[in-house]
Amino acid sequence: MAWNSYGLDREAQRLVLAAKQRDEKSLNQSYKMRMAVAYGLERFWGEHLRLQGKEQTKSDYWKETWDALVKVMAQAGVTLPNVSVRSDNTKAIQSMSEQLWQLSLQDQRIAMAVLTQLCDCIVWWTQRYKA
Amino acid sequence: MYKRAYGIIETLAPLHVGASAGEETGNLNLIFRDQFTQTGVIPGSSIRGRFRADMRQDEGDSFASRWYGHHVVEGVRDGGTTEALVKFEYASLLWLPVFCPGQPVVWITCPWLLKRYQQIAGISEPLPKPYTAPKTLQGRQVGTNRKILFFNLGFMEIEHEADLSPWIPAGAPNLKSDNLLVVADNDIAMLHDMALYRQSRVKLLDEMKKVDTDKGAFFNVEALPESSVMVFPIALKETGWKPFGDDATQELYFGGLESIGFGRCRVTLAGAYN
Repeated sequence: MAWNSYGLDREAQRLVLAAKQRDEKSLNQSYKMRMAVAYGLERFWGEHLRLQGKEQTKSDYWKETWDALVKVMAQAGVTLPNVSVRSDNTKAIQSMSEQLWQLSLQDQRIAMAVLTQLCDCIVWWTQRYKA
Repeated sequence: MYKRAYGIIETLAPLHVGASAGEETGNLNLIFRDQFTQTGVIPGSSIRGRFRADMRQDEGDSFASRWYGHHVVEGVRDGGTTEALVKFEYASLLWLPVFCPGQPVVWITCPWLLKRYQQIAGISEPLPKPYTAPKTLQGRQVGTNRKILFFNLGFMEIEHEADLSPWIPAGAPNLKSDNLLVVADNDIAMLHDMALYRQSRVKLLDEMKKVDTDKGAFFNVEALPESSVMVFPIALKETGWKPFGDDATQELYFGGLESIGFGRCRVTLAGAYN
């Protein structure tokens, strides 16, 4: 197979429905995700830590989206770091961030383009399922 | 016998040829497409209309009527129409630029579209296979002998290497021989949709920078992106057709939405056209 689809729309629908089931209010994060992409992978990944413990359902939504991106990129042979980190473990945060910064520029750009598209899909599905 | 010629169009701005108005009745401002590849086209009548209008402006109505056929006159037998001396067919896409994350823009085409160009321009080169790219195309090396190209909706494996520069027409100076890729006939429709210039726009009130909600505020536009390359055949019954004077190249406007910056193209003629 020469052309391989990332299957982003399907992934996005799954993420939105899971978030809706957990907490209807967490759906508002979709737009924030789309906006955060522009600032880079590190910020996108880090956002779930800010919400950890305080607003756990929102935190879960961000983390699940990151997990989905990691899975999608793995199909294409791009390995993104995805270490489980607690927000109070500064050392672990530092190590994960460093792994992200160490990605080659080309891999960063590819991941950002795919993440942008994924978030566009997520926003679309959010519009459909928001009460 | 007809003299065979052809034209190469390189878009210098987004190009929208389709029905432009009436979103409220279900039209989404879609461009005309080829029925097999689902890629954008310019109908022959639109090309003819532009050439005719420009000639009428420069050289007068009777001159234009001679080359492009006389229009219908009421009361005259058979409408008084005449056969045009120059005939145009639709322009099909030859190379379409697509965004590739992490690398320069890549121009794509498919065997179906290349075959049409091959016939029009009389190229003897055999058709390249799907998933062919030049050796110099940037991509990610996977394993020992495989190369992958990323797009924002998926990725593609390059299966063959070949020099594609014989497929670059004169009249497309922006095309880089390193950044070409032939995809399969089945993929081109989806990649074409991914590559189109798309925007949601609004109509504002005349006196105020406020959305005009009475007149259907939002509308979507779809256009071929700039630097797309198209080809169209021309048949001539007589020699002496010089639409651009002594030049082979001229800038022309095609399609609608000129007022919002669409339609500027560079047209280059080739073959026995004058």
